Amino acid sequence: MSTYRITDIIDSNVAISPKKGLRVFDFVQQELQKGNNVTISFEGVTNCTSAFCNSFIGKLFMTHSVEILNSNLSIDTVGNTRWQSKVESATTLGSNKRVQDSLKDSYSSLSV
Amino acid sequence: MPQARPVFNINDRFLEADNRGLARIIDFYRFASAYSNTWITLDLSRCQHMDANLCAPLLAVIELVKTQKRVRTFMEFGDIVNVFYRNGMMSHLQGLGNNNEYEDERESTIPLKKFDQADDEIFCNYVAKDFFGHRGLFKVPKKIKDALAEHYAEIFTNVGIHARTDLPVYCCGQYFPQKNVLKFTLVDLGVGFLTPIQEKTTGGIDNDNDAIIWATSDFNTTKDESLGPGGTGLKLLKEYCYKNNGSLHICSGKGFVNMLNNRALEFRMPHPFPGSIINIIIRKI
Repeated sequence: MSTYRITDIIDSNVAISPKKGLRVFDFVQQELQKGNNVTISFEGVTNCTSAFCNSFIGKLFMTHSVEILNSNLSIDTVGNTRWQSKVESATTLGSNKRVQDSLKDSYSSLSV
Repeated sequence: MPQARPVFNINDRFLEADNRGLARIIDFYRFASAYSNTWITLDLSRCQHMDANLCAPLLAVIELVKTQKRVRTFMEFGDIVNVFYRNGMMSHLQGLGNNNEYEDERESTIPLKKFDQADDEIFCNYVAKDFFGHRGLFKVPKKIKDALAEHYAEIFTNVGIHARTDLPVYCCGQYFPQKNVLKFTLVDLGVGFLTPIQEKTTGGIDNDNDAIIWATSDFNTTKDESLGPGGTGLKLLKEYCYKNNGSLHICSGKGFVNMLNNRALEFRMPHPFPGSIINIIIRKI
């Protein structure tokens, strides 16, 4: 499993904007499509927001199943409990959204 | 004979960064925006004290009427001129922008600065150095500074997601060492809370105060889904304030909500603010 630092992917140690979160999302997407297992590390990050985590991790969990991400993606929050909590919240929000969307789809197909 | 310059007087002796203080700033905005292509006077000479935090919404509306209506503001100062020098307001009024030429000898003001929404690194640097690097805040534990810095980053980021404007964001703050109170204010000149929330809830939320409460509750969000899920930034900030003897004031449109002690106190402003103001007050840090 290869380890990549967020600071290298976004070329900054400030991980606060959703746009930067999407850059990490795109990076991980490409790695997953290649069949690679990846670890994303927060090492060197100085600021992190839930908006960043939601665009990166939340969107990944909206896009892929929990099983796929649990076996192919690892997040290292370098022991920062605040960031860990934001990662967990983004994971929950993303996977719930995915479940909600798939339920919506199944309801709409029933109503046709 | 030349026409006399229109004058707006603020007669309050004390202006605090609460709903009443903000109402005065909004009154001035309303007065100024009734003119175009002219100079007006804002007379603050009777005012003996003004919370430095009010400089953020005041500068925002001064610059807004200058941009939109070409109305330039001449200011008459009284005792509060010292605050304006110390927190950088004077540098902005003199056209020097974020380059504050004056020293804050008391080390109690956090300088007034404006940022483009893309300036996230500059903003974080401002919070780390100008704000928490402030000598007046040296006793605040690093853990608290780091947590607060991220909450400020949350609201800065929130503007880019929701405000639907390219106009700058205005920030400033003040530390009261004897009361051990830290205030931070962020102002944007965007669409406010109600418009996007009214659209999202298809009219279910139809007033400014309900929109503010909706945005700070549960995981409600109006964020574009292409950016992933949302609805956590303001909620986390509110909970942090509740847990730390703090309060969160949000003013948007005609709404003003003061969230403290797990309660939301709602006020209705006489006239709308042309954007949003978020004021975070942390006590006993």
